[in-house]
Amino acid sequence: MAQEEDEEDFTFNVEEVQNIVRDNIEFCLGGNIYSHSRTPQWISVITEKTLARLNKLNKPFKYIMRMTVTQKNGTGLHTAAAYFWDITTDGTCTVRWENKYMYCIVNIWALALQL
Amino acid sequence: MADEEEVADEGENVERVASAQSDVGLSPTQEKPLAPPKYEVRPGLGEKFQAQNIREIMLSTMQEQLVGRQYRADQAPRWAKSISNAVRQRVQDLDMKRYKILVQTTIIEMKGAGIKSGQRCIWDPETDEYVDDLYRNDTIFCYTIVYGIYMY
Repeated sequence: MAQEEDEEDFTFNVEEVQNIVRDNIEFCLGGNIYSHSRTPQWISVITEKTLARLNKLNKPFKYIMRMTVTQKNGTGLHTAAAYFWDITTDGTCTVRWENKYMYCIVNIWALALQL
Repeated sequence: MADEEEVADEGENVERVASAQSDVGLSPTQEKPLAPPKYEVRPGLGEKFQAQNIREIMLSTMQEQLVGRQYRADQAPRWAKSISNAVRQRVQDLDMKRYKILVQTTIIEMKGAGIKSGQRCIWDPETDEYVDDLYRNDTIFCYTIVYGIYMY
């Protein structure tokens, strides 16, 4: 029915987004060592590619994507978040990825446009 | 007309808002009746995102929580949670109409690790904004960012 298709279009599909993000990270960071000079470039590439693909999904959402890359050093890192939004329509997706030299944390928030 | 029926249905939807209290534990979602749609696409005068006030809120909250403290791996998650909840609560008290608020707090131990962070957004740059700030002492590095997204 037309209405079921509409409902699928309006929800935030967490798994699909996680796969998109993981593909992009693998492609860019792969087996690289943490490099102070190249990391900003990697971050730009990954965020731009991911947002372009999210945009192509053509869903009525505004997206915010934040990415952090840390050197593996034994240092502690803790993150907490609090939201004031509509929990039926808005969603969040977090992807953690690591290799031998660095950690990568990606947060994506999708906020629904009211239609 | 079909259009009018859709408008009437949206007016009866209930908005579920989840807000977590840090000292009482998670409170159940509260249902508030949603206001009828007004189709305002820009915030009015005096209703814009209050970036400067939010920056002061973030800085004072981080300082209250962290001044004089040393990094401790078992307590840092609690500090991060309470800072983000407190900032979220105080930003809500500013009562900026039709703005959705996202707060994220990151606490890092100062151990010499390199760290880089970046963000991209797809949003409406005339209405949506973010404010970020950091607090540093000898062992703790705390970064808080607040996003305000206008709801049409």
